[in-house]
Amino acid sequence: MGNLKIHVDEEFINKLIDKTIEEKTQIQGLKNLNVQLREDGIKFQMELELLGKTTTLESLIKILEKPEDLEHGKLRLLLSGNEGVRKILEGVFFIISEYSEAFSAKDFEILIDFSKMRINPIIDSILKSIKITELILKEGRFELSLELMK
Amino acid sequence: MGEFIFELDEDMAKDLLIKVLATSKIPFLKNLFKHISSFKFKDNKIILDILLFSFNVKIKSYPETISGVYVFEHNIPVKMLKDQEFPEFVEIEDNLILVKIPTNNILKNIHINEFKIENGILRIKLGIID
Repeated sequence: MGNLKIHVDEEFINKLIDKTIEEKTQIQGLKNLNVQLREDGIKFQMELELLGKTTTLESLIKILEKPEDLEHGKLRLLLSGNEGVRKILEGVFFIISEYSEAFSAKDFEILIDFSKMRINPIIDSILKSIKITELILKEGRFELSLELMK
Repeated sequence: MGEFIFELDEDMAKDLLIKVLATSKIPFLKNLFKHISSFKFKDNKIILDILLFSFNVKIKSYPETISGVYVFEHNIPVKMLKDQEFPEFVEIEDNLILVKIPTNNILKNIHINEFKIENGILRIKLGIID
């Protein structure tokens, strides 16, 4: 049986964010961004320098619904935590939703509907035949396993 | 720790390749793949048996970070590949295939710890440059 596996841990993501932020000094005020992969979702911690003060903001993206395949599946996320961060994340998803029908944002809930996803004909036809056998967030790790449907 | 692991097995790779080629602009490869009898991942090689021929593509070298030049050795007659439309980052020479991935701020920080084909699996392990 064909299988494709992707495993990534939070240390990899955080090191990459650190490196990228260090070099992109134009992200003004953002001193640190830390991501935690937990069973209940993805936790973001942001350290910001605003008007000479350092503030730490936290936000949690909870996974309410996981897709089973990439053709009809839906990924439903709930934003919680600091109001400001929640607004920013909601705004980001709102902007994305202007470009792709697959994304919609309402009342701190984000819905990604894979049946409305259009990328290009080749990728779309591949995505249509992919089944998600595993999508796990646990103890600092993200694990994804995919199979092709016959 | 601090690792990204990608593992693709030969069955999935074969099916994906057939799917991609079915919609591609490379008619020669598209037709050829209809006759594929065996597709194996072994000893850093992709081995394809098509009709009476056995072709292989071997990893020769790969860059330190994701961006850079990947070199593969192959025994596919170049005549068969000429005049086919490949993406611009792929170059075909007599017995070499060069894949050139341009750099950017994110890619240049990602180190390739492992890039291997063995026992039916293509495995890529990535880390972050210190």
